[in-house]
Amino acid sequence: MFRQFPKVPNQAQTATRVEESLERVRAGMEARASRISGRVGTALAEYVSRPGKMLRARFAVQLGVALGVDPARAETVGRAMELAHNASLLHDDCVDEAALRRGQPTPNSVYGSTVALLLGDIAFTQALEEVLDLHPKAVERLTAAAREMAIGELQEEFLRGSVDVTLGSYMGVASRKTGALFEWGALTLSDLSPLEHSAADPAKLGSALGILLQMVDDIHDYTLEDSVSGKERAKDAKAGRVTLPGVFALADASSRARFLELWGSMASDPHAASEMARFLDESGALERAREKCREVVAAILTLARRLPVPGEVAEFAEFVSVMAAREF
Amino acid sequence: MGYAELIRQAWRTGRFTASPAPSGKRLAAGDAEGRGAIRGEMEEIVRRESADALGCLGPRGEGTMKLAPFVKFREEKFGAVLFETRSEKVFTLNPTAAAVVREILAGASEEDLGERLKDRYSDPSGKLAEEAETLVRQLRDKGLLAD
Repeated sequence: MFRQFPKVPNQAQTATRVEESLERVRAGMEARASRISGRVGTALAEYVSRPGKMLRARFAVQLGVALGVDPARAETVGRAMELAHNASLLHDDCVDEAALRRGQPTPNSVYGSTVALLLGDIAFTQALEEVLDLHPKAVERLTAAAREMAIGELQEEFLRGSVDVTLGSYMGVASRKTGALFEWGALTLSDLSPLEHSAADPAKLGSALGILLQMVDDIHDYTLEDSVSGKERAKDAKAGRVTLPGVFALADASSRARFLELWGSMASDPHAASEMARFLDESGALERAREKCREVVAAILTLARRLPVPGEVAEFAEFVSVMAAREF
Repeated sequence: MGYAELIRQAWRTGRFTASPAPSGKRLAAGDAEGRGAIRGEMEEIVRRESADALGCLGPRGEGTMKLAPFVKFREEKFGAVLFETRSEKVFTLNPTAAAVVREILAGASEEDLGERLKDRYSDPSGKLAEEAETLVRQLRDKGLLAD
């Protein structure tokens, strides 16, 4: 007869609980590494569960509390997201032949691509194992998310060198490559939520957040020094990928010709990448990319304000804002 | 020959080739021409699959329609599909319906939908606008559209 509403916590209480949850996510990942180490050795097992910024886990934990989901189950979602993300990074670094990840040598650079690909496969199976008993649809949807991530990667791979990239096609690829895993996490938390929350459309919220993360990364590719990002600067341009700032430079008649000129010299001129970064800044393309990020943040916050546990929304909104503005 | 018979015959004869190998050209490493052909196809695919991601950009004007929560849109060669992610129901759309949903995702209101379609496609008889009106009603009835 009486519906019990969740107690409204203050922001400090929420923050403490989130950090405690993240500690448990991390401990669970370390436990997985420890179990695998008996089969593949400590050094290799560590790559499977190596935590980075834990943005996906934080997203899952914070969205979970805002949806009234049991924290232990939200942590499981977060752990699965981190493991699936690690799997994609291990494979990505083979695709990109990257030497550094999170400031550390990548396993493909140390042991070769074969080892890194197999570690990625193990990481993905660990993500699946995490959610076996979570929800009847969780595994099926995680495999679908992994398929979309791989399709997004393939699309990006075959668009290398193409300058026929619009804002829509860029965002579409990002929604698969990065958004699909966030969408999976949000959809699974939605399945686990005991509260009415349709108006917040968690699946769309998750997808948009994933796209935002990609957009921010693509801006950082031109703006952050290697020592800060842990990756080479202008790596995307060197690999022939038009990303968000490039999309805006191409769409503007006043900057298109110069962009194409620099683009054409990328393979032969070792200074072209830094020249491209300077040009994107001076032509306003980077600022337009930042403005688009702000639009996506506004759309996410509109959805977030409709989440059913009001006291948790402020913390979630802060997370979104920090993620958009992050310089780490 | 049915599949079961084919399997029995293959088992008896030891020949397991059910169909000839694909005749498509196999790409050699560094085959720029072949890679370019796939790239052209990929450009077309990502164009087709772009509408849904753009839909996450807001804020929307007053009176604009939008797809209901949990509904995703993806264009296909035959038109498009609407996918309700929670119930996992899939609705196929013909090219006309796909064009209407594209306008909805681009921020059309019920009032200006007909005009937007007229601007984009030749519709002297007004049939397209009429069909669009019916489709919007059907989408609402099925809970696929929100205001």
